[in-house]
Amino acid sequence: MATRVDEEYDYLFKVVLIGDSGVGKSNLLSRFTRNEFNLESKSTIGVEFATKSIQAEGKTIKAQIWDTAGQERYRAITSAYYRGAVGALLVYDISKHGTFDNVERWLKELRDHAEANIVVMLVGNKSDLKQFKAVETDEAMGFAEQHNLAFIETSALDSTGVDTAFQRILTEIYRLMSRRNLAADEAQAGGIKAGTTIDLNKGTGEKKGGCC
Amino acid sequence: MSGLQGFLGKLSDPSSNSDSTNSAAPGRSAAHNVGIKKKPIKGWDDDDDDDDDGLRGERITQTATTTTTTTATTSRPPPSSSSPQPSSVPSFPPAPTSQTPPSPPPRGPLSPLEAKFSKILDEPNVNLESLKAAAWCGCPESDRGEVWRLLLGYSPTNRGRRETVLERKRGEYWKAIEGCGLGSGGDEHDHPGITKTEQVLLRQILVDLPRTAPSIPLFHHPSIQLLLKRVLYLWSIRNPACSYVQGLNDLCCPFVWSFLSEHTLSAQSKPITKGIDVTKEIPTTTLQHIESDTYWCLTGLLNSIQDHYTPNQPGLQKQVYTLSKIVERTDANLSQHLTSHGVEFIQFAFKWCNCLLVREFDVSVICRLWDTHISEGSEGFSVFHVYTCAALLGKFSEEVQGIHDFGDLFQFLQGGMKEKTEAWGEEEVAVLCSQAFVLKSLFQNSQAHLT
Ligand SMILES: Nc1nc2c(ncn2[C@@H]2O[C@H](COP(=O)(O)OP(=O)(O)OP(=O)(O)O)[C@@H](O)[C@H]2O)c(=O)[nH]1
Ligand SMILES: [Mg+2]
Repeated sequence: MATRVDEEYDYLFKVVLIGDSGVGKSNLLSRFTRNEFNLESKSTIGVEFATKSIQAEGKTIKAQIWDTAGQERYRAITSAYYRGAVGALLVYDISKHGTFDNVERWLKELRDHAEANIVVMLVGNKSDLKQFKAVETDEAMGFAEQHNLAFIETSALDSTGVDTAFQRILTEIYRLMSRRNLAADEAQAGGIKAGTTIDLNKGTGEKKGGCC
Repeated sequence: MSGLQGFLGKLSDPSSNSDSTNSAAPGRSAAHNVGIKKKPIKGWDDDDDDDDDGLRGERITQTATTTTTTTATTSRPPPSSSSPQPSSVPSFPPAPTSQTPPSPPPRGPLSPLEAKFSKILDEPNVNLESLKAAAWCGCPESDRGEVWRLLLGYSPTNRGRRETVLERKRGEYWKAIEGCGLGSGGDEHDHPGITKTEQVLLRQILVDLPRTAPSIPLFHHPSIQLLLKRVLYLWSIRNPACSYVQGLNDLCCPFVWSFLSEHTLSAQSKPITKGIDVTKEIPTTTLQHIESDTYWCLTGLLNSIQDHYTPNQPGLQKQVYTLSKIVERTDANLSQHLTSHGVEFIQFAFKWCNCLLVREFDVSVICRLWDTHISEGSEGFSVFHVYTCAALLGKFSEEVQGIHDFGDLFQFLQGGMKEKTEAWGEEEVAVLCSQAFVLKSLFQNSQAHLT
């Protein structure tokens, strides 16, 4: 199932999927990486993992995506996986307002456990459930702007927005990284050349306290 | 041969221990029977054992003439087709209602395994040690429900009291359900009587119910979904230190499966199927008993591993750590392979310990595996389980060491293993349990070094 084409890449980015249980994180992951949707998937216990490579600005970016369990009880275990992540998809369910109310708590989780400069995208999933829409797009967009998050609505069921969501966050991470590297280049006349693997697991170490 | 298999091979040569007797601690005999499928153990087929026919007859109080040697019991149809079971015999599970034929078709002659269990279970006072020793090597499907009820401390060993006690406990369950404010339908907001905290846990249960054992239609039958909802909700509000934790829904499945199976075998002489229509095939009262039995047995099981599910899940974290240490000692190559590829035990073993391997096996196989765990008593899931996990990893050691990509490794350990265990039968489980037993014997005295 792992395609060997994946092996060739310019950059490796670690991204986490977070949000309340049942909002559709695992299905977003399976839709993106395997184009599969499961109405009756199993709940995630601990973490799951998958990879997929995409093209962005002429580079091959391999996304290493960690799908975490949503239930509060698992936070102690799942938050360990935030380390080294350069991106986070913070997912809520557009048909359940409670999952949107909890977004603030998830942001705090990230502040406490993730890198300070992690790129965060707010994802309103299950956009296919139009007749049950409980979180208005404007409300979510306003919240995203206020907290400086990217925002998108998706449906893992009918695929709407799923590829775009991952594509956008990965591109954003890439741009940020190149900008940062450029700055570093100027400072040290060094930096990362194309073809170099950035192992984000052995990344910059923990920077706590910053705001997302 | 390498890794754990080799390690075990070096330490214990099963063939040299073949003279062991059955009176040893549970598991001893099986451990000595590594690789030997269903070797009859002394007593299985001996008729002249210490079985008291007088007392045995007493049990069938309503039968007009009690013969001395037949093994007709109150809980299963007579072994021969000579006489239909009298309807007045108190039966457990309770006599089928009018929905099913009044006298169940008699089962064929008991297999040696069934006869062995029959002998133990029909005693006026079930000897738990004998029962554990027998169940350690696997229960017949028809008896599993009864064995589990006994070993989990729910059903009393005294035959005379059994029915009364079960009736009382079942009544208690239904009373509690009535009083807990849970209606039959709607989402967490449709139960006005419940608190905010209860709403939160109910929401989680409702999110998980449709995601329970997705590949088995039976668990998605509305009656079973409702059953699971009530059992999980009641357990969670009665155990606020743990409350509902995802995965507890998985733990209910082996119980429901075993109890349903017990019913179909005794009432209809046929094994359960994954697509069984419970409304059509299971009488309402039976379903109610299955529900309360599931609740009480789940309670019994979880009592021994409460700290798996309390905040931060300390018991579980400790298990995962112990597992990593065991593998480090018994299969250094595997351990190194995982480490060098960045795979940590917590990444896959967390689920193994949280769901007690339910997600790693087919439901019928997990039931067999649980026979052994439940027979290990209160340490079955808190201690023995870790060794089972180590043995399982050992079983796939070579395969895992052949995978060199982190993603593929992760995939295999996370779910790919299920494909491999799909074809497992009695033999594979017996070997796994025996290896776990040997490992436990080796390590339990040196526990201090592991933690
Ligand atoms: N209608 C609709 N249903 C969806 C969508 N995405 C997921 N679901 C359903 O929502 C339920 C939960 O989806 P999961 O992907 O398992 O949710 P999760 O966020 O991974 O949940 P946890 O693992 O418990 O944290 C499943 O029944 C899915 O089929 C979607 O886009 N539309
Ligand atoms: Mg999930």
